[in-house]
Amino acid sequence: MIRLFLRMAAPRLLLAVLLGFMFYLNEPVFHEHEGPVRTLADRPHPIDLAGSAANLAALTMVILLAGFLSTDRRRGYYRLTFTQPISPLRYYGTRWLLCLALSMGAAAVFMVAGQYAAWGEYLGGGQGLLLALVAAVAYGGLLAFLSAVLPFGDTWVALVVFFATFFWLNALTFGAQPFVTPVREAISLLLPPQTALRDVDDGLARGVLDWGAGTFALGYGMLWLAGAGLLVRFREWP
Amino acid sequence: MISLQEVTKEYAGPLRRAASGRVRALDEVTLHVAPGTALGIVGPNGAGKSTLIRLLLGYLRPSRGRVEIDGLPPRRYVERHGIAYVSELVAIHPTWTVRGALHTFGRLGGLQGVEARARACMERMGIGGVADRRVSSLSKGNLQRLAIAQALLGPRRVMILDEPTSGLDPEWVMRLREVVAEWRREDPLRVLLVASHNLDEVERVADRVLVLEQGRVREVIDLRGRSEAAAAYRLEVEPAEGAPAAVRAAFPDAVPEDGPPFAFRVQAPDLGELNRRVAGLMADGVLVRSLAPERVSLEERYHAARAAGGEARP
Repeated sequence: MIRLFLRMAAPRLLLAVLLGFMFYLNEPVFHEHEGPVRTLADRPHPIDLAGSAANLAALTMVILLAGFLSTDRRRGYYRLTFTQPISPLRYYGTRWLLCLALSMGAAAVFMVAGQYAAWGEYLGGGQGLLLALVAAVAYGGLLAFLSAVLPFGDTWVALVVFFATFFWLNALTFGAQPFVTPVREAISLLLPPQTALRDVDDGLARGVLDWGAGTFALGYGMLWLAGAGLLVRFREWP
Repeated sequence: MISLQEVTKEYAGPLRRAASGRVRALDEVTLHVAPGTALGIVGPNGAGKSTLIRLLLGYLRPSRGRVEIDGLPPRRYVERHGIAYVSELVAIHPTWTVRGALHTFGRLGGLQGVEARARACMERMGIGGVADRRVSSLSKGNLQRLAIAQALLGPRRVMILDEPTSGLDPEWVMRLREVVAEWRREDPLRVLLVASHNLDEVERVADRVLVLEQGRVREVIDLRGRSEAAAAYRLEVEPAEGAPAAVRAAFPDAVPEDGPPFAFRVQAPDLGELNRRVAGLMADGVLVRSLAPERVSLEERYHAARAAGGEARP
């Protein structure tokens, strides 16, 4: 089944590779050596790559999971698939886990291959993959739910949410106070846990793991994922 | 094998539910299908055929009542054993090839020797020549044959065919009949359900026929006894001056039929009496051209069942 899912994901993986290359070009840490001569202390710190790796993992998750449930429901592909002796929950659960593994693979390749390409050596920063894992689970869980709920457009909604989150947090950081406090807090809670992800990132930069923030972000993704699982299990098929 | 107990299915979205605007697709349907049965499902559009099939596949849940296959709720049965199914609208990923689609369904079904099975099914359904073509480029007929091939992949005990002849040319309609008969012969306990508007086709493959109308069981027609002694016969005699009178003498309730002259609808209480009367007729010098039991087609019985109206019969 894994081979089958890999074949299904192959065209999208090419898109993820392209995305990874764009992240590489856009990542300042990789291009610091292009500036004036620096001392040893100025050497780039690979843990600074964690943020980009996390964004790459999250977006790869969005690319790989786009329409993974809604398309089947809308176009009726499920009709012949689920007359085979397989549970829809297991089918979609396996696909989701495989996408998570591929997203983590994309983040790992970005960190390792990027360092070799930019600096000619691997300087470390593997713990940054923890942030990538948390981000992938958070966005992957959200997209799974959107794909289970919406008949179409789940990817676009996820992308809008992805970018809206940055806009929202920046607005709050710069002192904007849209809506009344409870609404503002509710929106912050519903949007992907970018603040928690930043806390995990900051912790990793200090060499510690912020368990509280990490658990919150993981919990956010798992909650949406559980919602998607319940819909797959109990909702009727069209 | 398959059991429906007073099954009602209502469709209602949240808005409709609030406005009490439910659509009742099935209304207290009770049905038992024994192992080895081929059941046809017929009825006009909106009769509830598709809803019944989707309930049996576990894609829908009954609003009231109970559906079981082999003692299990349908979804659990499907997840454990699988069901050979050909949907009315065949939807397969358009980028898959014919061979790839069969391999995929076979692997999802946990089958051993998928490649050999797929090859055999493609040959059986005559799609070996398009094995490497994408699903999106298939004609309607080939797509239908691919769907039938996937249904034949695994050793399933239940097969559900929803409008299986849709898009098939007459030759393949006939071949499908053979394929289905062969599938049944492989295991006499297998259950076949065929939903179709093509009553002639249903009559050829089914043992029993469920007539649905407005979500209710109008009648279950048993076709197995159709070759047993019939009460009415069609008798045709050689044209001769005294022939009609001789026929009426032998069969007082003989009714001339439309069409060829000297053809009558006659009745006899049993085969012995029928033979005696025909022998008497022949002894009177009447030449019998043909004698055949009157065959009431499924179409006639279907229309009679629908015309009967009133309360539906389980």
